[in-house]
Order: sequence, then structure tokens, then C-alpha cells
Amino acid sequence: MLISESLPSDLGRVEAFISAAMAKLSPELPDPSFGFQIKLALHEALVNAVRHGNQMNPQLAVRVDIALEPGKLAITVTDQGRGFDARQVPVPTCVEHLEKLSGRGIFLIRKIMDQAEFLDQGRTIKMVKYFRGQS
Amino acid sequence: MKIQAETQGAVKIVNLAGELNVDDSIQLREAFLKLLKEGATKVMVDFEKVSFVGSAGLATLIEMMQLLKKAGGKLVCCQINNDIRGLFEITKIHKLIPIYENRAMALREF
Repeated sequence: MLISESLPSDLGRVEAFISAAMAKLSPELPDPSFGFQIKLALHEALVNAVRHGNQMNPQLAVRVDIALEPGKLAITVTDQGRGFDARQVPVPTCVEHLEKLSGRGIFLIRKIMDQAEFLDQGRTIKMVKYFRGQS
Repeated sequence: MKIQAETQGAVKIVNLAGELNVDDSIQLREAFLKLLKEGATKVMVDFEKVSFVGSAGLATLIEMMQLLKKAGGKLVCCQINNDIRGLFEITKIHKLIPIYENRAMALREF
């Protein structure tokens, strides 16, 4: 199953897309328990792309591609912003950052997905979740 | 998201239903600030009917925990499902905001 969309930098449209995408994906997942993690990763990547990547600029779009294959699901999200260095994002579970009000999205993606890499100077994130032993 | 507040003794109980996304977090923040303005210091959030929380929702809870702490009060959460509990644990927010299995246990925290 392939789901591709170009979204405006509008959080309402992003949430509507996530709901529609999850409605298509959920029945196809090998275990319902993957649904929450995939939804969370998709949510965090898209919200980051709109807020931090495109800076909520309505002239800029976010591209999202989701590919569900036997044994794995891959999500790619690309924004049109300036990019960033993901290595510079602090770990939010350190004592000094624990009470900060932002900076958890990328950390969560890295924790819940099996692969997460940034390309094109941080404008693109590619994430993969493997359904080990369930394909 | 539906947000409904009730009072039990000195404790304000905030019942949530639905998903805690970005816009819902703004709505929840406003509800919390209203409670603070009304003098609430002991607040319990009931997650029984919450199916999803994003990082914006976590940030709102942390901010409210900080504001309540400043006011000499406390924020606790209860009835969180396993997926969302996992989220609290991954981010270590359960170390900042106590989580209880049910409302009775959470109320004893106060």
C-alpha cells in the first residue's frame, strides 16, 4: 500500500491527513499495537515539518510518502524549510532538559521507529518500522 | 478533544476524552490556566478516554505541573492506557508527573 500526499503547512490539514492515513493503514498492520507508534511517528514528523521546517508558512508544502510492505512500513516526510542539524538536538531525558516544553518529537521518533535518518540537510526524515516475526 | 472539569473536595479533576494533538493541547492549556486563575492547586487529569497524546500534549502537562508546583500545588494523572504510559516512560515524564492506575489511588496523592 502506498499513500502519498503534498500537504499545506496547516496543522488542521495535517491532523486530517493522519486520521485518513491511519484509517487505511490500521486494518493492514500485522498487529494493532503498531498503530499507536506509527501514528505518533507520523504525527511528530509532520508537525515538526510544518512548525519548525516550514515555519507555518502557508506558501510552503510538506510531502509525505508512506509505503506499507510485507514486514515493514516506511515513512518519508520532506519540508521546504532551511533544514537543520539533527545531531544538535539535545536529548530531552537529560536532567537539564527534562522539564523543557519542546524538543521531544525527534527523540520519540528515534525511540519508537527502528530506523530514522535525516537527509537533505534535515529537510527530509526517513523512518522505518519493521514488523519482526509478523510478516 | 472533550475537556470536562469536576471538583472532589479540594481536588480539581480534569476528564479528557479523545486525542491530545497540537490544537487540543492549546485547548487543554487554556482550561488549565482557567483552573489556576480560579485558585486550583491540586489537579488530577483522568486519561481514561484518551487514545492518543503527541509531544505537544506532553509539553502542556509539563507546563501545568510547573505552574501548579509554583503555586504550591500538584498535578497527577490517572487511568492512562499502556501506549500513552509508554510515552510517559520513554520521555521520563512519569518522573515529573505521578501516574496512578485509578482515580482513588490518584486522589490519595493529595
